[in-house]
Amino acid sequence: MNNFKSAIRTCIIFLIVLTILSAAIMSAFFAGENYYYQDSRERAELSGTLDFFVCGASHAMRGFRPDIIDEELGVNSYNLSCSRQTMQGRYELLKLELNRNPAKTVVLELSYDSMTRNRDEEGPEGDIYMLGKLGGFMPRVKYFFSAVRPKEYGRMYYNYLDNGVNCIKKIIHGTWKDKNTKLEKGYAAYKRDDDELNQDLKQIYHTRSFEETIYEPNVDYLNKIIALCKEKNVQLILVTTPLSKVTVCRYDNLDTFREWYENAAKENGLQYYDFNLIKDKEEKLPDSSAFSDKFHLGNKGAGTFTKMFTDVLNKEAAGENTSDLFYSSYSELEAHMSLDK
Amino acid sequence: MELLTLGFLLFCIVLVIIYYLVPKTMQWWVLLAASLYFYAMSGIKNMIYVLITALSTYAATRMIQSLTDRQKEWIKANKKTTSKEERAAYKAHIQAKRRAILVAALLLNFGILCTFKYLHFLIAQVNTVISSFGASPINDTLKLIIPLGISFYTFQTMGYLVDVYWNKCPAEKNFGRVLLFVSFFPQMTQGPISNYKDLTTELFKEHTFTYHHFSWGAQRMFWGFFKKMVVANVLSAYVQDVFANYASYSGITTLIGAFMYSVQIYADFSGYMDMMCGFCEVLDIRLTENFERPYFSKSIAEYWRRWHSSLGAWFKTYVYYPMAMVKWNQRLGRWSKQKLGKTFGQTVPASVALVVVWLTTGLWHGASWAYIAWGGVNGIFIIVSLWMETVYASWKQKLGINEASWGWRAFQTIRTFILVTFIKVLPEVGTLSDGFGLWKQIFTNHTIPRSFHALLPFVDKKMPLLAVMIGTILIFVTSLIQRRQPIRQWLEDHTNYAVRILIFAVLFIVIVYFGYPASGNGGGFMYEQF
Amino acid sequence: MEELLEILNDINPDVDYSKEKNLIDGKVYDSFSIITLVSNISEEFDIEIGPEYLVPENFNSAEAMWKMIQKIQEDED
Repeated sequence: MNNFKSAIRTCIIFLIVLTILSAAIMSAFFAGENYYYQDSRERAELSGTLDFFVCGASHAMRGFRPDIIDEELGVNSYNLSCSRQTMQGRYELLKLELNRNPAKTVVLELSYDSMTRNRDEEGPEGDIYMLGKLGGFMPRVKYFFSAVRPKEYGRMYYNYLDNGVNCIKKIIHGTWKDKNTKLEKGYAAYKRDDDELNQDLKQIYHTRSFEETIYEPNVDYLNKIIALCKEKNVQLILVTTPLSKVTVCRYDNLDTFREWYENAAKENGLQYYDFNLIKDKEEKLPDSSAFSDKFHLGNKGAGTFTKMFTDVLNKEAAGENTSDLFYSSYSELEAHMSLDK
Repeated sequence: MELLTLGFLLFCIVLVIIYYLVPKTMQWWVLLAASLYFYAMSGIKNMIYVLITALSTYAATRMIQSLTDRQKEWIKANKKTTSKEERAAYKAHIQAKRRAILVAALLLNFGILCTFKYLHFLIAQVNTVISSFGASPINDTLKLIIPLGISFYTFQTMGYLVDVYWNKCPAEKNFGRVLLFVSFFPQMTQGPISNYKDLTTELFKEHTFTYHHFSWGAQRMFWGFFKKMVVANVLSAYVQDVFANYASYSGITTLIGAFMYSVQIYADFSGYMDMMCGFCEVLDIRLTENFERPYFSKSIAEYWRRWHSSLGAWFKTYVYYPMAMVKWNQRLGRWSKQKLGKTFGQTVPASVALVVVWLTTGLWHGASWAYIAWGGVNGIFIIVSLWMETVYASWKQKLGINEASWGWRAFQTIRTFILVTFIKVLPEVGTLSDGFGLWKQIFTNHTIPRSFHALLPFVDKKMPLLAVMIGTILIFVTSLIQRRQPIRQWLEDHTNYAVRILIFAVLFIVIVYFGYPASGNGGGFMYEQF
Repeated sequence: MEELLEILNDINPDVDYSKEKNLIDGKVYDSFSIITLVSNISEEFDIEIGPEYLVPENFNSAEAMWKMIQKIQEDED
């Protein structure tokens, strides 16, 4: 029995020492100035003053410029989006911010994969970023155990070790206080980095389809977001950000997703705008300059798009009919679209 | 079941707990259940072949044993009433039956093994011949997935069968025990190939949990993980790159790649051994060792006694000795002594046996001409050194070389390491001509790399390289220490409990930090394909 | 016994066969010498040494070898 007790004792002591060592390495990362932690700190500083939020994945992170929103709408806005953010992540972050800010409006970005992304197959990348963006120890721990699957714990352990080591390297080089990305109130500016925006549209026309299998938890969280906004008396606007013309031509089932979101909006008395269908999109957001890659706006495009978006909102507020500004479907859009570039 | 996963770790922990909770006489049942579960998880279809091997061996050994017993009884009962010739005839009759059963079981089991391993190779060779006559080749569409560990468990079990035939051990009456011997899961994927007596003594004794075994076993497992996950996996990426691109690298870079391969495969294979032997140590089971600091060997022959020694021992017992002592070989030996002189003549039976051993060893390692050639090259070195033993001895005497001197032994060791590296690399690059191409590049390309990137173009980030270098040095230093005492004993003598805990906690972090990203490469184990 | 000692000394004259008990386990005889030994013994004593006799216990000392030779001669009866 003594042998067994000694073995258990050694295991426990080993685990404690391992935890302390791991925490020591990881603490550099948690204390450090990683982009997502910077973001959470910035939001904490602004808490109590924000009244307009944008929430979504990378499409929204690279598409909405809070400075333009502030100027055009006279609000104090923040872009809560991050790469690969799941619906669960969006809900949790909104809940956090709505609880500590006098929010009046929330813009929720929904795209072709917001309902179909399967968390079990995808992996924890989006949640890793979310854990950074959330503030405080307990909210992070709670989110960790609710979002991360047990089979991913090993990967998460490695991820934080790696980040910790990187931060230690930065501390040694004296660069740890440098801000990571050009970040303004949650918006991330991206330069053009995709060479595939020059395609023969006729050749690629309707050659692919996006996944249409719905992952149920996504729908649950969408409903939770809608309920949360209703509860907090916040105006919720559903938006699809513009994709490049190459993408719109290539994929043949974008109407499917538009219908889902239109139905959700109708059922809940909400506004939904798909900015791929706005009539002056091709003129104002050409592939050649507005996009950083086939699916995301670049810095220039984000500026233009945000202005287009706030114009629509201002027109709505003034009582004008904005539905004339949009085509009603992708079929209608394509009837008016030329494939000669 | 993928070895390096959380699931497997859980499996091991549960196994250890149950194993020590059950009555000691039931412990081997737990091992059997675990082994069958492990094998089933890796593909339930494969279990059929394990069962065929176990059943056929069980049946054959029991039949052979009963014939042996019957013969003994009959001779004892009839010694006074029969003539010498009658007894000899009876013995021959029984012997024929025993041999028939042996041959049938060997054919069945080796037949299964050879079909899985060599069918494609065989068909390819037949097709080469056929198409040279202008006929259309055989269509080879059968996709054969080699059952896990078939080379290892077949060899191990056939060893038992032959041992019973040779009356070296009695046939086991309990089928469960035979099944455990065949399917014991720590040995399944990469050996060691144990002999029946040694393994069963360990498996079926009563096992008590001791802190010492737990602690030493766990330490050994950590060390094995380190070798595999950090050193072997990181090097694997570099080595694959060199093997693919050597034609555009300098000779020096290619040579470095070859040496890295030597380190990689040692770290991979011996790392696995450490993990499994360490785990078995926790279970109070002692496995045969497979490695004894092989790169410290002073000759190729010695190297093969220290590298994968369980395979070498198997070939020695079941191929080398029988081949060397078979009648026609002995006759050949006597003839050679007469015609070619005593010194040379008496090496002939051994040489013939060695040729057979090395060609089959090559074939065991891979179904290709490259591996057969590789086996042949090893064999040539060993046979030649056998022939030249007296000649070398007289040269050394004339040159006044002191064989016991440190300088001479260092020379032998380094020379052997370089030789072993070149031989080892030959079948690994791709085809045989790729292997020769790599050799050629090393010797004929004299470009001097003028920058770090030119010297090591396959290194992307510097930290993993640093980890590998430190890891290699650690392996080297621990090997030096292990010549005198086990490294874990050295740790106990020179460090205290707190320091050891710290060392292994740091080791764990290093393993995860370097091992996790590198585990995309060579994620499974290299010898698993056998 | 003398013939056996003759064979042994022929292969390795540096060993004191009356005292040495570890010819195999102590690696005094390597696998090649063993083969030479076995073939010489079987030639000299006109017996067949089957692989079942190739265990260290039978070859660790001259005494053990002699016992083995006698047993084989008996068994062939």
